[in-house]
Amino acid sequence: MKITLRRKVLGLIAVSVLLTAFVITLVSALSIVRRADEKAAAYKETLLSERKAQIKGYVEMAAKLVENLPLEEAKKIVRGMRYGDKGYIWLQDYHNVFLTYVDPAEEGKDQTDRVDPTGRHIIDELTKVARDQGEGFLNYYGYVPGQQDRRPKISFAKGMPRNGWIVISGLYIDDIDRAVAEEQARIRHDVSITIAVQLGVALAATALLMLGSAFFVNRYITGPLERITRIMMHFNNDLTTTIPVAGSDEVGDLAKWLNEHIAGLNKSIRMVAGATGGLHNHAGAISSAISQQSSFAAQLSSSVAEMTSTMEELSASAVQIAQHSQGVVERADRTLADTRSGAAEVEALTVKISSINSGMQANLAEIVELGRRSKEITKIMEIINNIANQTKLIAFNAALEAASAGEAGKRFGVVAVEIRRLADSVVESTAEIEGKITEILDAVNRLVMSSEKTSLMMQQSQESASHTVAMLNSMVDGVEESTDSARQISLSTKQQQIASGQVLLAIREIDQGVRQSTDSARESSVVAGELAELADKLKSLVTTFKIEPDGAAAGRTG
Amino acid sequence: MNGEAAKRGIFPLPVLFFSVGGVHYGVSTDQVLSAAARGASEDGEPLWFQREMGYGGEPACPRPAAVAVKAAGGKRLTVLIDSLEEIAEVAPGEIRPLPPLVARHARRKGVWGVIPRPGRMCLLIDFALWTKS
Repeated sequence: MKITLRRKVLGLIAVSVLLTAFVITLVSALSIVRRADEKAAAYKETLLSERKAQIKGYVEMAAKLVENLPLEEAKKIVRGMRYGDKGYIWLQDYHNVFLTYVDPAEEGKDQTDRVDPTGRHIIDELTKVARDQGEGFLNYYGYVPGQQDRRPKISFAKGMPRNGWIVISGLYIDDIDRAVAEEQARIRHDVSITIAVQLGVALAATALLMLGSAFFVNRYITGPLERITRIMMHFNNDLTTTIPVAGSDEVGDLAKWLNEHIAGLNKSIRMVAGATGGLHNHAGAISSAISQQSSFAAQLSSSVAEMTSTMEELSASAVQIAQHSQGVVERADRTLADTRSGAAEVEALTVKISSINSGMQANLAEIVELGRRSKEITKIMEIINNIANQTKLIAFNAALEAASAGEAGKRFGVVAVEIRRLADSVVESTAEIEGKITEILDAVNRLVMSSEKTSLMMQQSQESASHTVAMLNSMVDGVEESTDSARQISLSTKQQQIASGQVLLAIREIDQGVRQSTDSARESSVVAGELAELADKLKSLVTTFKIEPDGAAAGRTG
Repeated sequence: MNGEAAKRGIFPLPVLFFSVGGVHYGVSTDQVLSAAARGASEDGEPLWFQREMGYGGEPACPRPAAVAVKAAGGKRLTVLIDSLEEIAEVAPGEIRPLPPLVARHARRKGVWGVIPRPGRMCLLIDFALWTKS
């Protein structure tokens, strides 16, 4: 069962007031009862004192009457003494023997064994009081004459030692207890009335206090709290809500705190809304970037595939080139062998020419002789040499020009080279010319014809042989270079083949990396999509809050 | 023919071979303007190649040749050498780079490559670099 705050507060007040009233009433009642008991006790004591005074008066009066009389006279007087309804006086001695009594049958008998229901020896104790104190009272339960029941009774005994008598009389005091009980009943009745009145007053006061408390509780506690509760129940994420601040007590503080909290929440939600927009845009940008990356990776994968295909073809071509290079090497080896064979043949020819040359030694001796004589024309030879050198320089310059002219100057370059070689030949020929001139000069008639012919033949043969040897040697060198180059090409091709294979392997690894990159981009795209979806959800969640513009919330808490 | 293109090994390189102090050299014909005998139409004071290369000693060739070359900045310069040998086209593949140990030092002297020839090694020289250094 729902118990409202108002009920709790009012209940607490009611319980407090009722408890206070109950305690006050209880204390008051106890006090009244205690005073009533005291009053009853005093009343009882008063009645008892009156009774005591009464019986004491009767006993003292009887003692006065009989103290100077003989026993028999005294007995007559005492037997005739009555007072009230059932009051009588008896006379006894100090040996507990009744001298007179209301019941004559008991006179002359020892009453020592007379006891009351409590076991008290009544006569013996009265005798003892008279003997010890001269006079005194004794409470006990005594028989009512003519009845069997015993009732509370008080007796007064006064000793007359000179006569040896004791005068005693007693009165029943149960009527005193009844009177006291009646008085106590009356007092209890008064107490009950008083308690009832007090309770009634307390209830009335409680009711009034409850009404006042209800008014104040409703006005200052539950009313504002119910207003706050009602506003908060209809809050519905409306951050423009303002809770009225009533007073500066705890409820007012609560309203202020709630306003501050709503303002802070408004600010936070506004920031979250801004951040959500940014997050949404960033998620879109990430998704777009990943899409571009994915597209680029796909293009890259295609390009890598094309590169792989191309490299495979290149590798196959490298294998074919290696095979062809090996063929070239073998061919160059055969050419080298043939060239060396040709060179050997020419060497043999040179030997033969040398043999012929030996036969011409005599003629040569003559030529030497002629040469010795041709020193006079050395200057002419130097001029010729200078001309040949200049021709050679010109040929160099012509060759330079031809080289700088490029393809167009190639023919001219060949001519320049030939001119240079001719100049060289001229330089070489000057010696021969010098010899010829020397022969002409020294052996004008004897050796002109034969020496000239022989010399010419020898010169031509020698030149041919030398030229052939030089050519063959040059060919051998060229073929050796060609063979080396072919071997180098073959080796390079094999290296290229290996390198192509490595490149192909690397490209395949790149292809695998690109595929992995594409997969990663796809996964990133999925994650970016989830992020965008999350941003949308957050955005929709933020839109459930109604917020007010920046700065407007500041006035709510002030 | 462009010397830079030839350096990149694109075309055959026409080279003028010459010798100085028993060492054989080659120079792209692009950098050679003309060849002449010593004392013939020289522009300014000629440079002794042997001295400029720092070989030590004095040139001993009785009949040196004078080669007019293009120096740095297009300047004409006459260089004295021992003898001209030949002009020939050299395939780029024949040109070998200098060993890394000496390449930097040699390049300051204008030497940028080596051409193996039968029985000898020819150093390729760039007169533009040579004169600049």
